Amino acid sequence: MRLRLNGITKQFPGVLANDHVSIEVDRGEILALLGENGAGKTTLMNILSGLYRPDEGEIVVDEKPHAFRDPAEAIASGIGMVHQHFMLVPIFDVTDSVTLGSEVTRGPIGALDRPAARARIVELSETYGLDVDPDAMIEDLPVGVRQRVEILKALYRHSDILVLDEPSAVLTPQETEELFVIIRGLAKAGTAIIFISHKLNEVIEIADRITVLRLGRVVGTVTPAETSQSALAEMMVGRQVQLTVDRKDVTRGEVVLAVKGLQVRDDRGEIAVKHVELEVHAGEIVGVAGVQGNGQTEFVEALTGLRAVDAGTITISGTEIHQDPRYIADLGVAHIPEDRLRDGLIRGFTVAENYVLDAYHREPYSSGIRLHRDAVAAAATQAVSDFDIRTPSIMTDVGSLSGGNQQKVIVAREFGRDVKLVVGSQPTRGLDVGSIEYIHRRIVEQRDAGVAILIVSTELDEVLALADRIAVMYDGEIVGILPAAEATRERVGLLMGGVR
Amino acid sequence: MTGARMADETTMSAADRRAHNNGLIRAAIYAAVGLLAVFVGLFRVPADQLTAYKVVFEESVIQLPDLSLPVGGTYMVAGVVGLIVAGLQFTSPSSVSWRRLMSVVLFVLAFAVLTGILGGKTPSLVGLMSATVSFALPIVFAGLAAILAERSGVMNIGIEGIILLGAAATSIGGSLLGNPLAGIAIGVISGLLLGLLLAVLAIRYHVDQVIAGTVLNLAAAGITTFMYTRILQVKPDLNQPGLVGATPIPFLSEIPMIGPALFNGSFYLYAGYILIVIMQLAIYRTRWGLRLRAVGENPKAAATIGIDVLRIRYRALAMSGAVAGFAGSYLVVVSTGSFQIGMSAGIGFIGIAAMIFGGWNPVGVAGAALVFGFARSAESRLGTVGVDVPTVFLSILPYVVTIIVVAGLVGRVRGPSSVGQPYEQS
Amino acid sequence: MRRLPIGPATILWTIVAIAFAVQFALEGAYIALGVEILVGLVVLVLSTRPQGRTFLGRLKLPVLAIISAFIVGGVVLIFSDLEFYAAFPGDPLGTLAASLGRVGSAYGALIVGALGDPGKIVAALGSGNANKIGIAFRPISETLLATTPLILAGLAVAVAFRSGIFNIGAEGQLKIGAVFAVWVGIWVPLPGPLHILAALAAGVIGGAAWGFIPGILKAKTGAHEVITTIMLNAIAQQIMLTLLLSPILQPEGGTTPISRTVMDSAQLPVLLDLPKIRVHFGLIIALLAAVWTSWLMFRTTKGFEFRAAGLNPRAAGYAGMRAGRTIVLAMIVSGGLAGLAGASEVLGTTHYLSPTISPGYGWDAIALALLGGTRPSGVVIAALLFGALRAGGPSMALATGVPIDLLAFISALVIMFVAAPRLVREIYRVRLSATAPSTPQVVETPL
Repeated sequence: MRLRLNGITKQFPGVLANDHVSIEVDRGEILALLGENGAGKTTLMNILSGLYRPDEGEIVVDEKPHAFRDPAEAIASGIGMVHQHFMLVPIFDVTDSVTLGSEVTRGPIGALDRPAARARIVELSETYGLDVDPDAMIEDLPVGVRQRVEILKALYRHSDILVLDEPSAVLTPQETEELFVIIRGLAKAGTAIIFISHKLNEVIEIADRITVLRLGRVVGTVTPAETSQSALAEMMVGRQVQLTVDRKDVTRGEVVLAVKGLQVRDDRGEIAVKHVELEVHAGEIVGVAGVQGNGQTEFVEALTGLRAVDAGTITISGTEIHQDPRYIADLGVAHIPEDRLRDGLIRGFTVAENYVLDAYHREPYSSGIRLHRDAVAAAATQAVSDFDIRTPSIMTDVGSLSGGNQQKVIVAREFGRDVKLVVGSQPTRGLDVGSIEYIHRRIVEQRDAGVAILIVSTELDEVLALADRIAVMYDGEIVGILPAAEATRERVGLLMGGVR
Repeated sequence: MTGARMADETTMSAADRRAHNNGLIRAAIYAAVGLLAVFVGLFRVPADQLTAYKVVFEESVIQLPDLSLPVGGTYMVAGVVGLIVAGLQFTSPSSVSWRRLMSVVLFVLAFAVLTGILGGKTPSLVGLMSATVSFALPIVFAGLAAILAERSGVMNIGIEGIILLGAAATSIGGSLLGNPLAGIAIGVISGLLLGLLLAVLAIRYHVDQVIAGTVLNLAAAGITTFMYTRILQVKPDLNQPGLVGATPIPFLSEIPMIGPALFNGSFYLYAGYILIVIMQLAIYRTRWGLRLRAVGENPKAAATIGIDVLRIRYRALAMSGAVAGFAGSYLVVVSTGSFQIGMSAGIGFIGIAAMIFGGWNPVGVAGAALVFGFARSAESRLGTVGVDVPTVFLSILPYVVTIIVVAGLVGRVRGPSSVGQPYEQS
Repeated sequence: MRRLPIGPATILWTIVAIAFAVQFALEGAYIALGVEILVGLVVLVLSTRPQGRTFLGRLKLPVLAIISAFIVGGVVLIFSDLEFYAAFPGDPLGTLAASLGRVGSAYGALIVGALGDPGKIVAALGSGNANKIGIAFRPISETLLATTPLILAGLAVAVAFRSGIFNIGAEGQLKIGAVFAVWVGIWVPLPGPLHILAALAAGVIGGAAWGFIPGILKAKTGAHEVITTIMLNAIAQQIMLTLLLSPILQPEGGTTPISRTVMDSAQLPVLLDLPKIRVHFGLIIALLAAVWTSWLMFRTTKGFEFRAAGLNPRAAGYAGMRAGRTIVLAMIVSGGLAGLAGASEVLGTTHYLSPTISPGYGWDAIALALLGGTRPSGVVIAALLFGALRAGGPSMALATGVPIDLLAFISALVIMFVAAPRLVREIYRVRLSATAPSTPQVVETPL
């Protein structure tokens, strides 16, 4: 066996990321690692690449146990990584990017032998059909080619264990097809390949064996022949914590949020959200499910005025919005951002200050220049009792509260005013069960009061528990919208994996 | 009006479009300035006014007559050059050679203005050039020191302080050991240690890079003045390291106009040439340079393939300090022969300016230093010739140019992306 | 129970401290003795407290930083003494003791020079002689005089820091403010208080304009404020020098770069009309500015935005605040405060402008902002300390021959130690309380 991982365990504060994970892959074999967010795929990969060290377990290469102290040792053992976020230097050309760290040099002072390096790259590129121009600048290359540069990097280092982390996440279908041709070619030439993905059709198409991870554990290993997409979906999604929310039937009202033909680009200028059509009515919860990185973040940022709309329109109660978060908030939109400490709260500010973070300039907190601290304190005190925020005082630094109470501060702030639409992104990520239930109850209360609610979550259980309708986002598109009654885990799981 | 349309204009090639527009604006400015210069030359200057530049020193072997330039003609030539550059700029607005074009325009215009101001006098052009090079030389060293640090991703605004301390160390060391060369070695070593100190503060103790550099500048100013008053004034023989004389290169140094400036200097001048070439080659053509640039651009990417980011940064800062110390020693053993309070006189900061204007590139720094050195030299010439014009515009030129460049008002410059951000090894 | 933190170092320092105390007593420098005992008590109290959120916890780092800086300064003092090297081989212990004694004398003279001699003060007050009272209070007056611009410049840097901007351009903003103020003071004939107000306002406007430039450049183009403010400092210096040599500021027939004197109507009055007392109304303005800054930062919506942008610009943007506007406004306020420092100097202290208008106030300001934890009250206290250093320096130089510039070096070390909490914690093995405050966040953007 070329590579075996034996009982790898890795604990992070509060999370058991890998729990006795064992996988193996041999020369010429393509092993797919399938799993949802948080299944432990990335941690496993970081252990394999020498970035983390496992708490338990061993890495066995060619039947010899290894303990990688740094990436250089992993590389020396033949392991090559293609990270999801490419590790390239934008201002370098392909030759420099590929050779960096293992340069071809001449003479005692390490003068770069570029012609030799270039020839080597041309040769590799031709051998494996990578079709990469060795003189092109990285920043000028499309994503698909950059990925091939990453593969070249691994091949150049004589890696014959190639690990690809969600390689198709950033690719178009055509580019993915090209990638598969390359991967098959590599396997035929004897490379052992670990293909990490959450896309069901892809793993069935490409893999020789599929190992499914869930919550840090190996659920099972199957071959494509003996499984099906729905069976894999079942294994991947499984049944986790049973979340129940009491819900009354509410007749939904008029359309509050209407999204038409929306297209949004990400920070790199690539299209991240495309052709999104979605309506959210008053008194209903629409849940957007999907694996992380399928355009949800950009979608929410466009809705809340944080990101430019590339094409299409967003209207709230008939008013078309423009890129101005305050204007949108004033239209009655509440926003629970996906990362509370990065986006939603200001560490170093008190609970009270965070409570008025988006309303400090309005009555009763201010009538102009002055900030009425009494009014802020009164409102914050009220909110602390209304929302059961456990804090020593309203003057406590919000950074010292527990995650659940931090989230309650955000919920209190956002729900504390007249709201027509709630946009909640990962509203309960990383919270304890009690806080999750509390926040879910609050969200449902809002719905019952006739507010339109859009919940974007990568936790399928959360979406299933809360939503009246479930939209699934995959590769920047809404690939399906199901009423709650029809949304079985299997159907949603298939959609999340890109199977329509 | 739709949100979508507005957004369209701000996505994708917004930066390119801005560069393009800035290029057109630049072309328009060059054209306007060029026309103005032609106009001044034709109508605003007495037709027969001449400025007679001396092109050789009196003691030179080869003697040539003065170069008499008609003021009006010089303005017109400068104007035409401005118009040509405007044309070039117009045809490829977002071209990357904007720096060269701007240097040409700045230079010919400055020369024309100088000729105009000096109308009817007989200034020494060869002297002007020699002074340009000697002002430029320490700026080159400071700029190279700045490049070494920033290319590795650490901002070194402490160069000014290292120069000052390097100068003091050179003087004391040279005096104690009785040899200016030994003093230079001491100056370089103390610079190296200060560079390492900066690295330890910034990397190990997570002091903000700007604060660490500022501390170095302030501490250097304080301690050198303290030492000067407490020791060097009491024992002046500790402040006499001796001078390093000029070593003219035979024949080359006799070339009229440029010979004395470029080929008749102390070994610092030649060391400067060598250092520029070595650094240019080392940064772009060696393994070390490749890794240095990778660490400065994307330390995480470098780390994933097993490059030790922090070690590269420590070494780069040590080298940066050593070069800055070398600059300090120049001030002592070439310029004045002794340490003086505050003798770095902002050279470290102008070096940073030269780094930016020179595009973080050694040859570019040399070019920028020459432009800045020319401004300094013209400024001091104007004083000695006794022309009563405000020279403030020449003295602030490096700083204004740098602000314009940093703000991206003239073209795209990009420093190493990770400068200023601490890197945490996992 | 925690083990008492007594090690060889502690014992050594205790011995040195007792030696200093004896020496101060023998030299009759009772005020220095008092200060030493006070510092000792503070250190004793602090050593039992973890670094953290409480008042004493917050005090710990700055106090340790200052003490460390003075210790290093003392070491430099000893090893820069040429006699030390001559005498050391013969009598190592005696020489060391004598050197330590000289350090003690120097620091003692510094303290006396900054605070005066309590005995003389009592005697002068008893005599009722205005001249004597003036002389007795002169050290305190000089301390407060030096404190005035430091408070204002320190506030300037602190406001910017709190807003996530690294304004190392206070030096330039101060100079431009001084130029504006002195011009109005010289040329604009206005009646008394109005003239003062107009000149002060001019100083604020000049400084604010000089702060506006890096602010707008950062907001619109992303230009790094550190680079732009460094360059603007140099430009301000050149502009000031040029104007000082031009008829705009220079008196007729003048040859030196010193401006005309401002009109009497534009001069800030002295606080106490006693001989030798120079501290002027600028101190009141500075203290009012500190109160105003505190109000601005903590009681107004703009201050709320400044602080939010400084701590977490991303979340501030999510909450609908506009980053660009906040940066520009914060830089205008910061520059204005620095400009006021320059105005107060020319209108109150010198009454004219010269190239030495700022002996590095803008740089000290960085130390003050860090030392004062970017709080206005903290800045005022830190400015008093630095003012005392500046005022006591000449006495130290006069009495013991130690060059004043030692203090500039010590100030730089103070910044270093304050900015490197990890270093201080390693040296003193300080415990962190569970909720230690994060050090002031300075937002970095690549060039």
